[in-house]
Amino acid sequence: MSLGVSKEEPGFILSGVVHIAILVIGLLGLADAKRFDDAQESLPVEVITESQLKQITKGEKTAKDVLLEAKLRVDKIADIKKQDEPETKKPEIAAPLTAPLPPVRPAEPVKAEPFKIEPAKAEPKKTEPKEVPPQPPQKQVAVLPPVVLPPTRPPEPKKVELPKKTVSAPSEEDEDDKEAEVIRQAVRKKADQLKQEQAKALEAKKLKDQQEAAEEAKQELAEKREDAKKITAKQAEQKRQAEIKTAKDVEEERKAEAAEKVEEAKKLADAKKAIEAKKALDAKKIAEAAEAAEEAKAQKAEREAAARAKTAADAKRKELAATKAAASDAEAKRQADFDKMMRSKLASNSQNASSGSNGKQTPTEKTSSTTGSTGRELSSAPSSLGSPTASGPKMNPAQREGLQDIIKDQMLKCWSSGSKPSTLPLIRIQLNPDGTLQGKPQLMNSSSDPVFTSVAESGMRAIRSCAPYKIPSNYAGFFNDWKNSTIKLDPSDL
Amino acid sequence: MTLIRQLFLQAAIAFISIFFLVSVSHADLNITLSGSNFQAMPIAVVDFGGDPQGVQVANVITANLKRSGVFMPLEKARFPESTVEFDSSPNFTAWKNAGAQAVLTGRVSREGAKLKAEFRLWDVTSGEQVIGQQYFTDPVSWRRVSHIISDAVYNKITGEKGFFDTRIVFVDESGPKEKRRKRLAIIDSDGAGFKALTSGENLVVTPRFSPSSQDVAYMSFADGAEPRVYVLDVATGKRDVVGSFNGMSFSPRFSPDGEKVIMSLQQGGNSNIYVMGMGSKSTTRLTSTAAIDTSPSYAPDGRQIVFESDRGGGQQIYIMGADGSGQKRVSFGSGSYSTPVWSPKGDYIAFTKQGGGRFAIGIMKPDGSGEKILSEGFHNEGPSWAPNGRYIMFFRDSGGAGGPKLHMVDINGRVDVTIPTPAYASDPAWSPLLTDLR
Repeated sequence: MSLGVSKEEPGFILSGVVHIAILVIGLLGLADAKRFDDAQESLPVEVITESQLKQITKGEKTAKDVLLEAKLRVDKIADIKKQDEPETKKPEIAAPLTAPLPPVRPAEPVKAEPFKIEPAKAEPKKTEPKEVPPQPPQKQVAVLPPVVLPPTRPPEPKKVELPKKTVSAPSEEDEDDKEAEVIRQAVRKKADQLKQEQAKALEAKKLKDQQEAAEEAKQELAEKREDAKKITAKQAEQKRQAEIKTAKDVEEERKAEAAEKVEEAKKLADAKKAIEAKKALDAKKIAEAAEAAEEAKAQKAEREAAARAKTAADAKRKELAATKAAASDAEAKRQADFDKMMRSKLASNSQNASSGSNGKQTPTEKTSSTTGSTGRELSSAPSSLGSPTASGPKMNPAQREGLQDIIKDQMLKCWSSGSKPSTLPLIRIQLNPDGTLQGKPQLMNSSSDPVFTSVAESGMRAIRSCAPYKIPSNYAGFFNDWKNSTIKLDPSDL
Repeated sequence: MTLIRQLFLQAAIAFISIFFLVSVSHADLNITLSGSNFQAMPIAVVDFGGDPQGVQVANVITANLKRSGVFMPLEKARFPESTVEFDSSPNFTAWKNAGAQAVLTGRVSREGAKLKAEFRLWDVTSGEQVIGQQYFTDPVSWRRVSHIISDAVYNKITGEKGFFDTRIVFVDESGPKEKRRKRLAIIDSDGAGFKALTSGENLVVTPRFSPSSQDVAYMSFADGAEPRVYVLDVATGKRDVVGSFNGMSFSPRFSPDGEKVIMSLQQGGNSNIYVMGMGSKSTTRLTSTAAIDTSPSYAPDGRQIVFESDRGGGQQIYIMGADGSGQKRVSFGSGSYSTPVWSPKGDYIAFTKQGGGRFAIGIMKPDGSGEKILSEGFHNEGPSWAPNGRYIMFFRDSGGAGGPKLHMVDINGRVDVTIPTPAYASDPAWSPLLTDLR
């Protein structure tokens, strides 16, 4: 059996070689392929706007009535953030949802990426890393908001964000987090090292002083030695043979005296060193105690430092790869903002729940219905069952029909119209929770028929004169479903 | 393809769901006010200030509004304030607490030889003036001004034309039952202002007002000759014979434009319906049967005529075209139907129904449906529509030694009032609104 390979047809060989090469490359490439990330369990997250959140917190189940002017109850005062630069506000408003850009400048939508430009400009300017470390802890207490951040990073916000991240750009986000953590640790280490170095420097200085003192003593000793040498040389010349021993003794005594002096200098230096070391230790302890007392603020400072370090790292990265750095920076800013918000909310909630000692609180906090809500100023406004403008539970068809009959019966008692117009008038009314009319009845259609006008007017008159309408209490919860009514006037059966 | 279809299906379901949710979330309560819970409107007619005649004006208006059945005037004892300055608004809260939905205030004053009457109608529920007008007239016509104000109030509240500023021609009956003297007389809609139009020497029956003038057509047995149809100008008293026929002419009725008179003409044992031009005096025969066709009445648009005929064996109501074409029976109830009269609004036909020894006044729709009896008794006959088509006047004889009297009912059967006359009265004919004749 011949394979049929001939030199005249090299295609077969070439094809075989190429195929084998592809297989080898493929095997090698697959073997070196990056491992897939572990699948993360997704959490159901409902994204709501700030106004929706306000609407939710507006109503309280324990309230008796639905108030027209329901205000948010504020149990705790929040810090007032100065917003000198209006640009810094943009990222919070979710710029993509704002009004469309003017058509004159079509290039703007591309440029106007708030996440890209503003965090880099606004944030680092405000919180430069230089400003924070020199600030004493007392000052930080005064400047920082009363919201005490938890010592460790709360896991909840992360959980909320995770699904989002995995959906958008999982690898980059994780990297950013790791990098931030590494940077934070580095900053902490640096701070420790600085402190150690300071202490070491102090110690070295003291040692230097001691060494200098010892050297002076040595020099004096040396001078004395030279003097003694000179004297002994003269005495030796005078009494060479007879008094050699006494000269040596004297010399030894003098040596001993110099040694004693050195000893004393050394002791003094040690004592000084010990005192200074103790002082340094005390100072360190005090600083540590202060740090412990202001741990939360320090954490925030650390976080800010980390953020700064991160922005610095971002800046470095920017130098390396400008576009990628900008994108990741914007994302990090958004994430930082969200983390900040969630932490502050969490901190305030936990604070309210636990002690309630740190911050001004309303008397309503004493009750079980406190919301722990934070605002610019305290508000002990009566709680509302909900908002009259918000959507609420719906009546079932039987309830709806029953209420229609209840209102109809009341209206019929006041109506006195006899002729049927060519067009039946339609009147729209709005009721308040107590059954009174909110505003005037509105005629919704029109006709040139004079009977139409009179019937419509008689209907409106009847509606007004019969008000307020008695609405059974079991319908109170469905106010949003019955506040609007359309009344058709059909005097045909009269 | 299957995937595309699934996608389309899902999109459609989503769209429908969203639409449903949106529609449900914005659903209002839908209430239809209908039924029979009618109640007359509580109204307070405060004595008109100014001239002492203002009190009389207010009294006439109060009586008119009450007679209509649409209003329920408050008794003066319940008034929270006896007088209201014409140029200031009433105390709405007080009037509302007194139960009034509307308040009528006014002022009567003299300006030279003229009487000036002003009024304001206030809606208590809204605290707003609904209507305000003023009139100038001769002092002797103060009653008419009262009727005109009543019409204005009625029109504003109901949307219908009024009927107070009208007059009624009727047969005034006096003397013993066996030998009654019957003459034409005229009164205001409330029975005031009685005036005899004929002397009573000759028997007169079935007077009919012209819808466009103050002419009255009636049948008279003058001078012992054949009964004839005459036309009388109420304003001037001038009287003319309508045509000259061989045989008795009776049951005259004007066409809506007042240019023609339609009537019955007896020839032999039968009677047929003829129409005659008032100007040309030319006559056209509309029915030709061996039966008694009588009591013709035009539809308000003049295109159709309703009449009674016994061509089917008993008295029934028939409709035909204005030229006599398309004759058809519309009444099929038990008993006999007579004296049909088409409503000025065209929506109903009033009739007299006889059965079981009783007479009733009723209405039905032009197609014969929706028959409704408004009054029933020993003897009720001769319905006549008010110009607004909402009220019917007829005469009622309760039997016994008494005689007939004029009565007014509304088409809803809520009103049944006696119109005061000096003596017995029958065959009423309601005039059009006098203000429409100007």
